[in-house]
Amino acid sequence: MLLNIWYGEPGLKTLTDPDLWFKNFGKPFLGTDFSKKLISTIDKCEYISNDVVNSKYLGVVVSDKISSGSKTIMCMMYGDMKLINAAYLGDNMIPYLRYVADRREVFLLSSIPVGIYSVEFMPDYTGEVRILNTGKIVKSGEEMYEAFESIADDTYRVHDVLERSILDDWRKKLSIKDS
Amino acid sequence: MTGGRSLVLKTPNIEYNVYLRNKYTLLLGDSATGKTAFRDFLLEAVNSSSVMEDVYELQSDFGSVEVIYNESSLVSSLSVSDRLCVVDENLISIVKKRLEEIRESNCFFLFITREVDLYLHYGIYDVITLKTKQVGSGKFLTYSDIYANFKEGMVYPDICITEDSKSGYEFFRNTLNVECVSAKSKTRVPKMFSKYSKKYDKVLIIVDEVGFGYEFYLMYRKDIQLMESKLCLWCPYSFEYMLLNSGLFYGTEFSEFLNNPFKFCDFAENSTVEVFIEKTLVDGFKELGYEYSKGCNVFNIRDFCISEIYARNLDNYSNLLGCNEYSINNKVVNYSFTYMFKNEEVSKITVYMDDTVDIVNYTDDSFKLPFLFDNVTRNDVNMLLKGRVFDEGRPDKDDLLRDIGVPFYDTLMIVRKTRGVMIKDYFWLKFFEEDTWELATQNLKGIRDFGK
Repeated sequence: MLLNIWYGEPGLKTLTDPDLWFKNFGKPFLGTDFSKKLISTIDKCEYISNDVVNSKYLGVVVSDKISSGSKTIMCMMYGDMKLINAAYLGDNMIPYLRYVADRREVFLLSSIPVGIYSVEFMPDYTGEVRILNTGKIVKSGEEMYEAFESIADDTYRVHDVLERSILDDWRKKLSIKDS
Repeated sequence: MTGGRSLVLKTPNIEYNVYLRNKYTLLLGDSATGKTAFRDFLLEAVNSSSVMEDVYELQSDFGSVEVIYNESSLVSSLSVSDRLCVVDENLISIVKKRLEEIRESNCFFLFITREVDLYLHYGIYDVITLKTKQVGSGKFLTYSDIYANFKEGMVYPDICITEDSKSGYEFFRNTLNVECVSAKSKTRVPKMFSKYSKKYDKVLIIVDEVGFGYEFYLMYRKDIQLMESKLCLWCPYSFEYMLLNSGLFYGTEFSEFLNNPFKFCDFAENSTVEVFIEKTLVDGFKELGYEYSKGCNVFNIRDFCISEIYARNLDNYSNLLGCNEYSINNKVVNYSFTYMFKNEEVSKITVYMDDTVDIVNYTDDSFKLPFLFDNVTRNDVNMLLKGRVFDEGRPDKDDLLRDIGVPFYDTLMIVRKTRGVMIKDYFWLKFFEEDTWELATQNLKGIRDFGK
């Protein structure tokens, strides 16, 4: 399994909104062991039911109040594999991202070459990262940075837009089906 | 619409206190630290009726606070002036669509996002991280700018990277006494740092604070380990700010301005603090009879109260200047110069911070030598310098100081400008490598004919 990264902008109907996904489809997955562990370590929340959690700081609240980062990880783990904006993931999500990437194909959108989506930031991650813009597979942070520089402009920004057709092509190539 | 505003939101359990220096501020942090909760609380506090007043307490320096929830609320807010707009990460794509309108608006913006490539002009202090701290049963939130980690840097750099290639670069190249390279553009600074940090142990980067936020964040995320061990970052607002802060201009109000220029900058008229500072400098120089323009200096920037610029702008400047050749036999050099007779070197005089003096004579001609005895002290050198500047008691002292561009009577500063050239003899003091007798005498009125 691989971590797939698209540098640049999302196209129409390519990006998944984790908040929206969780609201509509995600709540039944809150009771799984993985989700329970996720919300207890990240959000300091105790699972009560699919709709209610007990937060250490906020008290008993609706499960919509858990962090966007947790929802994003759950969406990656259980949702359909569309594009996820990497900016939704904080540094403390690194172990979980690695966990998911070891089990499923993950598609991340990133505007900068660094952060959680950098191999350097995941020293224990033995897998590889595919740059979707070029199709190239990189194995280290340095290679990843070089790949980014080759497609970025002078101001370190990539203007490529990921059209739906490109994403679908990749999904076909990797033989991913909607869950 | 000036900067330096604060926003305090008190909820039963949490107190948020945010200080916004400039028009745009970015709030980052780990997942589940309470960023979106802050937005939710703020939304409830702003829209709450009088019944809810006891629950939330909101104090702000802004005319109004608005939590943006969709595109139309953003558009309607842009027409209101003196408003703080809080934008959460799921609306960043809308922000990117309406950049021009945001730039032209008279609102302040607090972006809660990790997407830092917003194409907006924000400084490195404007990227703040939110951290959660638990004290007792309560939850306290602390803010810190990521720049804070690098303020206390090393002091003996091996190489210096400057952002611009014009006056600032020229100035540092001539005064720092370490190898100085220009990145030519702020966007190239991260790349240059990666390159030079492999070669050198300590890298000093001098950049304008304003507008370096995105690049700094890139560096911070890519080379965090290298930065912790090898980077010293010096971020004045701009090179123009350093000139303003060099002691040329006075006044209580002016010193307040220098402490917090963003508090005086009207963002409706100036897009950034940098622009405002440059305007102030140009006006200030006009009053002094100079003309200043960026990149094209009509006077020699190097002569411009060098010691003052460092002393006032960088706390540890003496250590910074004490690098490489400025540190001899583990003693930090205060200043050094060559005593010259026309273009002939007579003696090299070095004064150390511990008041000891080193003299190397290049000639045996006792007529030319400055000191004919051993054990020369700092006092003796001071007497030599004093003898080569005009008297402090002169009635036209202020006019003379103004003419040569020195803010107050200081022997060393004056002698650096005049090179100690006197009408009565051919001796002078060489402070800079490229100085010659012809150049030194050319700069002085009334000396020109005599010098030739």
